[in-house]
Amino acid sequence: MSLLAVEGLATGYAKKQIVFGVDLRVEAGEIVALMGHNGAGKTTSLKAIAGLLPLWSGGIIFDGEPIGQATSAARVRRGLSLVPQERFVFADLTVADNLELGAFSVADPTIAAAQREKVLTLLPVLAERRRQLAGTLSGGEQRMLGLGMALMRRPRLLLLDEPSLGLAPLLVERIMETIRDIARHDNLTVLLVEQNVRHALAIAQRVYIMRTGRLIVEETGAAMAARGEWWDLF
Amino acid sequence: MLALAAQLATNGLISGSLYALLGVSWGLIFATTKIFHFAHALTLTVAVYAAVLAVGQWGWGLPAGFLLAAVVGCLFGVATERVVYRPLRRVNATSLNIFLASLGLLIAGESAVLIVFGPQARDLPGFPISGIALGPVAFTTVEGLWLAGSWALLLLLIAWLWWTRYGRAIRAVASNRELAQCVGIDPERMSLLVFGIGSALVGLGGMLLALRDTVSPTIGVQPVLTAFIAVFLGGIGSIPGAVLGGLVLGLAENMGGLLLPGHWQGVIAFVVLFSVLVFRPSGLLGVRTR
Repeated sequence: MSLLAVEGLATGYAKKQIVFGVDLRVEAGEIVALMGHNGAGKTTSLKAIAGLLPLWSGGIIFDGEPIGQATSAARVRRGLSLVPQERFVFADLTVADNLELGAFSVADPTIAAAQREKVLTLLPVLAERRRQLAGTLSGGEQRMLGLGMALMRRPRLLLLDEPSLGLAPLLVERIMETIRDIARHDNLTVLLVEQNVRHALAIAQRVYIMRTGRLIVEETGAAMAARGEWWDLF
Repeated sequence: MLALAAQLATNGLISGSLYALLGVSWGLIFATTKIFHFAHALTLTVAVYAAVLAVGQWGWGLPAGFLLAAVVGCLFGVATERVVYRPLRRVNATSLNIFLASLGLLIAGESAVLIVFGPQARDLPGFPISGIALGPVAFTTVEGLWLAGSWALLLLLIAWLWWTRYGRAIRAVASNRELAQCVGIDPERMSLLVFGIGSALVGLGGMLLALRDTVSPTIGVQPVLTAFIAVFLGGIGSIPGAVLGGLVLGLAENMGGLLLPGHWQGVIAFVVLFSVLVFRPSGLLGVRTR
């Protein structure tokens, strides 16, 4: 059984439909990349899966339970966590406050404290900057904080919306490695939106490609990498 | 001259503290929900009328009256959010339309209070008023209570916002509503919470006012306008900013008395606000918008 199964997902903003019937699934332990051009509907799909946008039609099954009508808070409690593409930290709050808020859905303070230790060990730069306002961190540090906040609530499925956006190439590699390490060690499943094919293929086992609100390709990462020319797919 | 300046500074600090309380009561709601809650003035009126009735006619003690004002204010604010604003949000009403609904509610509500209780001014009895002299400055016991009461409530609120789980969640919603949803905070619940707290605070602020001034159906408008100015002066979205804005406003109005006759206070308030909007549009401690 897939950890996440999306069937016929349709959604959009106000009256404008963006996504027209997307079917995708993510198995437990997998890293799956969702790729495509700007405006293809990748971010919109992730938002609908996380419950930030209502479903117009279709269904979402997470760990065997239908969650398409659940509030975003209820989905977070079940273990589904989105790190948005932009504004993924509370800029005018301290790093420490941001991490605490990351664990808002964790009711047990001892679990939250243990998780904080783990995240700070994994991302030591955050420990040094605890008292700083998140908005004063560098772009790479903010990405790390955004990731750390999501890990604070021990998600089972992490939805990452373009974690490489706006970062220098060296930092992108570090972020991607961090994501892969976390996924491996914590048996975390990741659905990743990415524009950069090379970065996505470096860590993804499977790839979906979207165009104008629909899925057009599903392939394994290895098969994708074997293709010489990607661009005709987009 | 020095004695006059000291007295005016004291007066400024006293009214500034109450402005800070009123500013925070409104600014908390605005920062978290982005609703321009004009009907906050009606909450003040309703809460104070309930207490005036209880203390003046049913013979309740003054402390019980304060408690009642807080409870009535809280319930009225929560009801306004549930019955008026939430349905409007559901149909994606623009912020202008929500503002108009709020203004309409204020006008209708004040008329209702006028019809039920009549236009005559009422008093909040039972507080022993006397003078206190501290060196060169003098103030009344009511003003002493303004100062102590406003700061006690402000510090309590700030401690709660900064050091508790739900206080932090409210700051998170104010900072970035979508991300707050991503971490599992329900913004609708936080809206109810800030309406409850802000409205209880404005009820208490109204009671402090009613100890000195007479109570009429329009009692809420002037203090809530002052609260707007304090919030915009201090910086939208910043609770410490609203406190600072209230203090600066109170001090400016009163210290202006060194140069101008007292009835120029309203003009001074506008000039201060206008200068800040021109020279520092995001307010004194405002959060820069991106």
